[in-house]
Amino acid sequence: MTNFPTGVPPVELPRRLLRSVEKPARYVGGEWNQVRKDNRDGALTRFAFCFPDVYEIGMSHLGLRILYGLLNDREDTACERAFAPWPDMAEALRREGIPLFSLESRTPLSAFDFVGFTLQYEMSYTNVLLMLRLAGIPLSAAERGLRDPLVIGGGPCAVNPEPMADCFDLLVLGEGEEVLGELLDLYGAWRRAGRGAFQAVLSDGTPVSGEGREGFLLAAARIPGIYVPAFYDVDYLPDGRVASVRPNRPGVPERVLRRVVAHLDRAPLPTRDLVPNLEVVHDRVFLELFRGCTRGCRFCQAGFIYRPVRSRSPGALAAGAREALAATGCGELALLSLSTSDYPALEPLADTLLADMEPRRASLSLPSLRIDSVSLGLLDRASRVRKSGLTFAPEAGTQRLRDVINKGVTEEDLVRAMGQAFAGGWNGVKLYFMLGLPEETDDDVAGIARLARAVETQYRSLPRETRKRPLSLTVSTSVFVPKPHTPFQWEPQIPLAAMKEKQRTLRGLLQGKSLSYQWHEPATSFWEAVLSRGDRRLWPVIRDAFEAGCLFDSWDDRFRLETWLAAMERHGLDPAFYANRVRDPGEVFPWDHLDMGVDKSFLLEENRRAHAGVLTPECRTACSACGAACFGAGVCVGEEAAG
Amino acid sequence: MTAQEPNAKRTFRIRFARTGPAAWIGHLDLMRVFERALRRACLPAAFTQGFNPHPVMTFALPLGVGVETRDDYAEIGLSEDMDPALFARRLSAALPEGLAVSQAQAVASEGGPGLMARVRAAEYRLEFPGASAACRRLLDRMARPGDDGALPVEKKGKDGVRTLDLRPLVLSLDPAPPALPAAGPAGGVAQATPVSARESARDALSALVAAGSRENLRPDLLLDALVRYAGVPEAVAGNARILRTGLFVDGPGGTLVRPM
Ligand code: SF4
Repeated sequence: MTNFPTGVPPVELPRRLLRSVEKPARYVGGEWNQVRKDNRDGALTRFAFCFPDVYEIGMSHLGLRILYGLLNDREDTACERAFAPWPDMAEALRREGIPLFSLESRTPLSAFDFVGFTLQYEMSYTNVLLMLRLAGIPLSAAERGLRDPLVIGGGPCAVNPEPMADCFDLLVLGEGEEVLGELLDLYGAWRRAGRGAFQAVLSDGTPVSGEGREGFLLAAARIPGIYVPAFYDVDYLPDGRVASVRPNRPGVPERVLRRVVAHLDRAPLPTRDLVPNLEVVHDRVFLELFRGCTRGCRFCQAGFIYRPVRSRSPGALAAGAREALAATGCGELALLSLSTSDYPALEPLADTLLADMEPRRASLSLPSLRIDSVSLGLLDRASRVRKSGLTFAPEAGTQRLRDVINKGVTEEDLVRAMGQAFAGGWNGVKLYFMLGLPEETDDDVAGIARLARAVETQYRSLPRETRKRPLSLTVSTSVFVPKPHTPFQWEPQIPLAAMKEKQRTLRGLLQGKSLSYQWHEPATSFWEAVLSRGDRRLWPVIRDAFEAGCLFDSWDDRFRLETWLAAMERHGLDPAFYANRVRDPGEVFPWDHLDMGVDKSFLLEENRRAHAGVLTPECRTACSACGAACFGAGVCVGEEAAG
Repeated sequence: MTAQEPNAKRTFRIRFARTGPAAWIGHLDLMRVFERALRRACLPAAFTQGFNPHPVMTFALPLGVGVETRDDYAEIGLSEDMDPALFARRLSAALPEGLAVSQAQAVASEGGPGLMARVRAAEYRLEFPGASAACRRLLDRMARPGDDGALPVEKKGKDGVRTLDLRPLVLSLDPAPPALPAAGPAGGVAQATPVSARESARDALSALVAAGSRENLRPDLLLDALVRYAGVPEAVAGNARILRTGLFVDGPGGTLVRPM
């Protein structure tokens, strides 16, 4: 095709191969706002941003868009992309002996300085191995030498990366905007020294020096937020629980504190966003209102690992939105946050955006709204025509259980809001619930059906003329997965058989013309529970499962539980130990040395309150001293988005 | 159809090229790519009404995935008039790598069949090692009388596989087409259409075939015929570069003319 400006020759991609696979546009790049830098002399640091799932999922991810822009803004770095090839392409690459390559310059991943994976969900771990294998990069950090790329990871699963710890040379904890820059600065110093003996000064003034790959990693481990797994030894008790996790080199911190960007307005909003050439899952530009969530729902990992809440100012957001729409030509803008209704200046912001977007014929989408009269009004203004789907997440079927999980929603609120929505012309509602929450009884499961019936009754109580279209009510359940760094990290997951039983019960209770019931495949939830609270002993299991053909495990139709179970058994491990065991309050967790800023004692107290059914107020109402004030930012120090 | 759309005050016909990575974009996705380019370039595109407004736009003849083109056409509705040359320039500058618009002109919007319905033929250039010789072998076969010269191939359709004789659909074959000019079609802009001199000098054949809504010969079927009747190895045919070099509509007195 064209001359690709890199120091390494691009891989040849025969037309025959592209014609033999589904959606070849996934593999050729060339999108609007793609950045392709001239690196013929190899002077730039090559960073491959890897998303271990298909293109359409990876390209929908905000983190990729933020970091792609940010890394390419650096003059010394060229950031390119790679996604997990779908099995047809993976097979074709193997057959033709073509190594996995970046989209921008078709450079083999093995020629990059950094191969960085974003770990969005545990079930993508085998895809990380697939990408490394296809790239010809050794799977374990210990097997890599001076010439191999540094394989790094980040994203939500990095809060307990232990099952994959042996794979990564280093992991980034928390938000990458600042720490990646510091890492690249340090790398630059090492690279200029020919990857031999080098000296550098970290951004906090600490002088570092070292030699070789280990020397570089030792220096990197002193950057706050960088975790080098090889520099920690894990000791186990005879029963398999962790006894201790301790640094094994001098100068390596006992605990690694996650990084946060204190002032979001100083972190760039991605505006020159990549515009995919094929339809992706979320085909729109995102506007990130704030990070974190004040609500503290006890099952929700995002509510604890992104504290404290920090907002962008409405002025910066409106300007960013204008710029992003102009630079991408996208017809849809979505407000993004964990709980959009909590943005202090939501209404005025939305109205400013709508006024801007109307003449451009662009539409505004508002996910993650709490359903109340304010949001119904907003939704009404945002969608002049389409009024189909409203989603709402009560999460639990009874008030008692909602108190256990600290979800401050009452049945009355819900039914009243639904009434307003129906009166306003909506006819499609989707309700999300979780099965298997701590303290759940049969009555709570039945409560889900009762709540659905109450919504149905509310609809029927409306005058006939208002009910122009038939009600379409969907109940969707997922199975609760206890996650690290949450108040429920001590809780067992219900066994697979119980999951199936509860789903069967609900299927029976949710019969009806206007009702439909959707559920997730319980086996994948079970395995997610094994991996999310796993330890380093799972690494050989993941490798084995991968070698035995496990890939794209998050795709229900591809997940192979038997293969995973066999791999566990080969290594003498019991999945119930990880998924279904009640943990002791004093237990040392594999992830305890990774510090999210929230105290373990606070989480334990929240666990106690959960079992007592006591609510905890959200941050703006009353601070519960969770520990995140250590970052000195956002809601903890009273900083709110100015008008 | 463009002309009937109430929002469209004007219709522009554009001539465009697509090569490189853009060749792998599917037809529906290509429409979206153009839509976003129209928005980025802030051009006064007319939008359809309804739930999901999208620009009023039709392509003369959809392109298969992996097929490049040097000479293609589409019509775009505008909500207000503007200079066609400026329209072409601005749209072209807002298109991603491999797509370029070389020309635009206003077309009469009163009645008559649309561009799509008037397409009659397309010219394809197929590049692969041994193309010229294979083309000569195919010409020899087609010169044979009756069934001996027929080119039956299997075509997968909605209702299963059927056999189709390609001979009547092949209007002419050229075993030695001239090398492609490095730039786009005559007078074209063809920025970002990297076809190197080396590439266009390759062994090639050129075929003028029936195209359009009545009869249409897809270039991959022609490659099938080359495999079956001219001894081209399947792997070679599968790797061929397929480039549309011309698109023709009915002209005066049954002639074929380019739409622009
Ligand atoms: S310290 Fe207080 S205000 Fe800050 S995140 Fe924790 S609970 Fe919320």
